Amino acid sequence: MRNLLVLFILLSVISCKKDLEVIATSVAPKANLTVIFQTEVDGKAIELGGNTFYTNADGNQYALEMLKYYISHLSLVSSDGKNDYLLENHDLVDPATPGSEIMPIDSVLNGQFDSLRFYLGVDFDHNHKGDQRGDLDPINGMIWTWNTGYIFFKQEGPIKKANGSAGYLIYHYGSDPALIQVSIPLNKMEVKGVDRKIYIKFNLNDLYGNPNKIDFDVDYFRQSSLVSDLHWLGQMEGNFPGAFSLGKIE
Amino acid sequence: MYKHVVFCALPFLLLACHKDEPVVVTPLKATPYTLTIPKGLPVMNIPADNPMTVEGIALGRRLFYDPILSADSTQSCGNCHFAAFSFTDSARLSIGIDQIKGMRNAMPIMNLGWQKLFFWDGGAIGLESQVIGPITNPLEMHDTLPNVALKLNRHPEYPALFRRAFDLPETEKVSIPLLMRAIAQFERTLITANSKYDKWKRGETTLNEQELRGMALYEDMGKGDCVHCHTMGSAFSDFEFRNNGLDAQPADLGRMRITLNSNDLGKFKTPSLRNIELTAPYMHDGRFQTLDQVLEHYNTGVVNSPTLDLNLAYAVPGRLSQSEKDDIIAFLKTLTDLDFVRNKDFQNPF
Repeated sequence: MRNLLVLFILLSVISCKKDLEVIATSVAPKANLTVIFQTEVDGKAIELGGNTFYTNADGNQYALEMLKYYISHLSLVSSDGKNDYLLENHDLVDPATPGSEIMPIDSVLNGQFDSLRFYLGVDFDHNHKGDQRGDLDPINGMIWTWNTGYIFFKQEGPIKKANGSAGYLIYHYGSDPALIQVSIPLNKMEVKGVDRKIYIKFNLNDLYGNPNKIDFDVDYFRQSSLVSDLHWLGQMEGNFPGAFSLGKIE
Repeated sequence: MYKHVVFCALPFLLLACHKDEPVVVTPLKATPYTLTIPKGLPVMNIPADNPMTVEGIALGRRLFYDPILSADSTQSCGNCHFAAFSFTDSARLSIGIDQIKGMRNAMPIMNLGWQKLFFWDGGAIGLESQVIGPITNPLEMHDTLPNVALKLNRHPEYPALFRRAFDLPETEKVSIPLLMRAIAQFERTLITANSKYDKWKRGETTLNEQELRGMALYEDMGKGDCVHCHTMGSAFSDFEFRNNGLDAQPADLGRMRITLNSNDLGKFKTPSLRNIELTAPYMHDGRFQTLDQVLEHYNTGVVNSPTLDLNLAYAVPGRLSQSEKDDIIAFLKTLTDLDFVRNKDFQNPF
């Protein structure tokens, strides 16, 4: 009888030890994701400063002195539809400010995800109010002060016209209809207790050529504020969804 | 024995020392301010993220009159918006810091807390958003927002005043949104509701015969018909955007500049007629110097264009005699509120 008791105790201890080992190797229930926007031209990270010239689909040459854009309402769409995430963010991506391209999505429960979605621009409620702090602060130079509303995408820099003469491009893209939703397939990305990074590429040459070819000789000064800007605005609206694509997932 | 006492007393002495150490002072919170709404005026909707405080209003008033908000520190809001003129000036088109005239007549600041859209074309949405328009307009104060923020942060007094007014932690700098909110708070206090007309409505005074005739003509659809757009009551306007027949081909796009809709060509915000006696010259470009010229425009001067307001399209030219115009003007003068323009709380604190 006593031997049986000793055996029982021994077995309990051994099985307890086994349980402890199992606990030590189990997976965390969630992880932190980081979305990183990479602004580029045909695979190469952009250089600001106005000296590096790129060529777009229409054969225009352009360099960049300023490039900024708003990304808002980041969301993760889960494969089973039960684990979706939606951020109420408005982030200003400015390649001149390192770190502005990084957006965390913290504490994502383990699961599988079909796509990452976001908006290029500022949503309606936030687009009609100027006294906002953080990335929507007017000090960022992305607001129209005579017509309350934000510039969703701003690009400025020298261009070389078709006839060889020097020019300058000013694009202030905005207004409510210009808010564009972008959806990036994630190919059933798994979250399994380990932090991951999702890189999203933003190719300016796709913005200027896919599918609508933008000609800088004609469209070099567009501030979304004249009737004559509406055609350009429509072309750009059509190109934004295709300008973003999945880079890599780490 | 004494040694024993000292040793026993020591901990108590130390405790007593601790009690005398300075207590950490929590910064004072901004003092809530309840706006007094005069009888007859509706409730004012104040944005939840910009409640009125005593310190916020005082700060806003100071900023309103401080030329630091202009690029060369020569021009403040108060340089084109004088209390004596119901917060406009007497210029057709005001001159900015670069000695260049603006495009449109300066608008009076009164009872704006009840309105939503500002500027002649309604481009600014919300009183806070209007603030950065004149500050950055090259024809007005011609500054940049980063430069304004820099100046305010370097100022010997503004950082502390902003912290106090907005309960900011020590580490938070003066920012543009808070500048906008402070000035908006001050502007919400600029309420006018004590004109002769208001007193008559409250039974505190009488209107003379000419003023009463003028009021009847104001409301008469076959005569002045002013009431169609300048609705009587608290505002003397419905603030709609209209083309009131100034030009066959409007040089200024007006509301169309904002909406890009050709149906809005040459339409401008219908202004309030309160204190109209004080706010000459009149119209978006200040083309009329006198109220008589304004009435004569409506009487015989209305010009047709595709977006002309229908009320004016059907008005009969020449329907007003000179004496009828004089009567209407006499009534309009009852809308002057001298208490408003003389209120020391609204004037330059410097």
